[in-house]
Amino acid sequence: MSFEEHIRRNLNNHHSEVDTDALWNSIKDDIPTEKEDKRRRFLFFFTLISVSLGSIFILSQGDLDDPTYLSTKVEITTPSISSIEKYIDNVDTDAILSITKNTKKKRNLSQSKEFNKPLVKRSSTSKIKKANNSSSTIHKPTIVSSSNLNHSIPTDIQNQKFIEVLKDQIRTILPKQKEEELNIFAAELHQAEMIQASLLPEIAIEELEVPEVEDLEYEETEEIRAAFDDERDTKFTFGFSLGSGKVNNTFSPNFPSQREYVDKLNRLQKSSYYIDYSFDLMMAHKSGVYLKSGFLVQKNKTVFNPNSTLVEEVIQNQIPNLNVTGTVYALENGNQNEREETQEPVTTVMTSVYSRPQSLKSKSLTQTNYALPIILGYQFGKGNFKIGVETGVMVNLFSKIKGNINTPYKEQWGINLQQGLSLSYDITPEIALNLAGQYRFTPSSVTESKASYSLKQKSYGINLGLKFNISE
Amino acid sequence: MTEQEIIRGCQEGKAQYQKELVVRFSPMLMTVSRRYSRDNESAKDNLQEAFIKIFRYIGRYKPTGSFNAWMRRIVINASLQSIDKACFKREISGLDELLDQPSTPADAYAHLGAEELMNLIDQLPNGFKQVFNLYVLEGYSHREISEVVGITESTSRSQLVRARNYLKKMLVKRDRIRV
Repeated sequence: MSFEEHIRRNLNNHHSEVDTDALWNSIKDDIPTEKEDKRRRFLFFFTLISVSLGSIFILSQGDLDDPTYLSTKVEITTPSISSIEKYIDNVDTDAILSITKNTKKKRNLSQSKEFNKPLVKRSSTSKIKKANNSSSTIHKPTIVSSSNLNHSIPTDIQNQKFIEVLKDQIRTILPKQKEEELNIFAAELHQAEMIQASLLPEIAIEELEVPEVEDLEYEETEEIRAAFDDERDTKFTFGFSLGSGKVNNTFSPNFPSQREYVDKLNRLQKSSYYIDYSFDLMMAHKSGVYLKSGFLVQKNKTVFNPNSTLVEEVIQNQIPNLNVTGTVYALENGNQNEREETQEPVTTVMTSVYSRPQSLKSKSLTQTNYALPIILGYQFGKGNFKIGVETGVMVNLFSKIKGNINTPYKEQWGINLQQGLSLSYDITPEIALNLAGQYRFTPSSVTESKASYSLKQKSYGINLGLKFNISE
Repeated sequence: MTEQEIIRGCQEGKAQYQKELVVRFSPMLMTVSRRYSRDNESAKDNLQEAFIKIFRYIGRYKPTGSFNAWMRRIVINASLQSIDKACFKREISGLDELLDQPSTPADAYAHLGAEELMNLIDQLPNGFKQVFNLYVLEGYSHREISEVVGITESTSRSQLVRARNYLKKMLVKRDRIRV
């Protein structure tokens, strides 16, 4: 028996003395528990799903100022005669008339924010509720903002006459109205003001009737159009982008005999990167919250160092009474060979490692993933610049794999999680340039459980794209 | 409590099984840790670090092979991470006098027990010790050693030759003293 065999025989079965209690006490508080990991994962997904659902709900609600969203418990404040008088006296005739400024484009008045904004200066914010027995639309009075309507057109005599007629009508009608009807009347008066403003040149005041709201049109100025864009609750954009970045692959053995092979895969990665391109539709609420979804293709390529040509078979200390079959791989002269390996009950220990000449050809692995991104974000900014913070999932629809390092890969492997930061610049009101950085990772393996190894991926990268406003 | 029960209990995060694993396997793993550490204290530190890793990753362990081998590898990696890699290069020079091949009679080591052998190996310069242990006791190839410790294959080979000669010389010296 040689000296080295003597050492091996003596030391491989040697046990040192250890104060196991002291050792246990020193590590027990540092042991990560599965429960903590599960709790952390649960909290992450719970928060993500809650925020997503909450945002979808908010975005789907549309205009939060719409009176139909007022609770039935909202107190109804009935305007008094004096307040209605005051309401009439405060009609901003300049603002009314400014809407009629000559322009080329026409817009349906009933869909406009400007229409929903009363042209009455009012200090209180009394809540007005839609009456059950009326089809009239009642709008919440707010203070007039005429910053976008700063065209001063002199008040003409027709408008003055119109106001006087309205005042007379109210004085006649008021005593006969019930409280609820007064409310409705106040709103109708507001509508009448708007209608009159748009129709003054065409109709005689004596023939004034309230037409259907849907039929109304008014002529639009650039300023009014800008006001429409600024005040739209939800904007839609279509975007496309190209990106690239670094991929970090982590290979883990599924079979103990593959540990050496997988260690090599981990160590001998020469380079790993991705390119991607995506199309998406983004729905952004004026609060800054946005939801984005679309289609993404990500191509990952990993190149392995050519020095990784080693054949090895390491089958050690197999546990009796276990029969497990799996595919075992070995690298031979740059080619990958595979065979089925069944771990039968054995009592022997075999360790053999064989070296083979190096191959000069690099090996590579290319994955193409097709995914549906669902991204939730928040953006803020000033002027033409916006910064966005986002998180979400990339639902993998299907994957294709090719290369020299083969193992059974899942065709559909679940989700990628993504976090990102974006910077966008509005080149025009319709087009924005977008630069974003992302971090993505796969929480579960992209290989089948019967594969010789599992593979998890992380990637860091940036992409550049354009967004088009499609809200019109 | 069988090994399988301990593994399953640890995978479920049960403290009693984790403690049992420490109690049952720490003597064997301490031997491994000692072989790759500078001294007894750093061996304990490395063993603690390795146990934390074992408990962190035990959920990924699949009972299709040796649990002992899986744990040993973690201990070796934890220990190798803590050593100064420069020692492998520093110790190449200055020890050429050991390259003469002293013959080693079998009776010079036949009487040596595990503790004495460990003490003998401990006297090797750090770089020699790691390469010798990985090659002789763990069965690593020079290529694997080069990848694990970050040296070239030729450095690994020369370290092993020097380690063998160093040990033989020490054995001869001990034998003379004993006689």
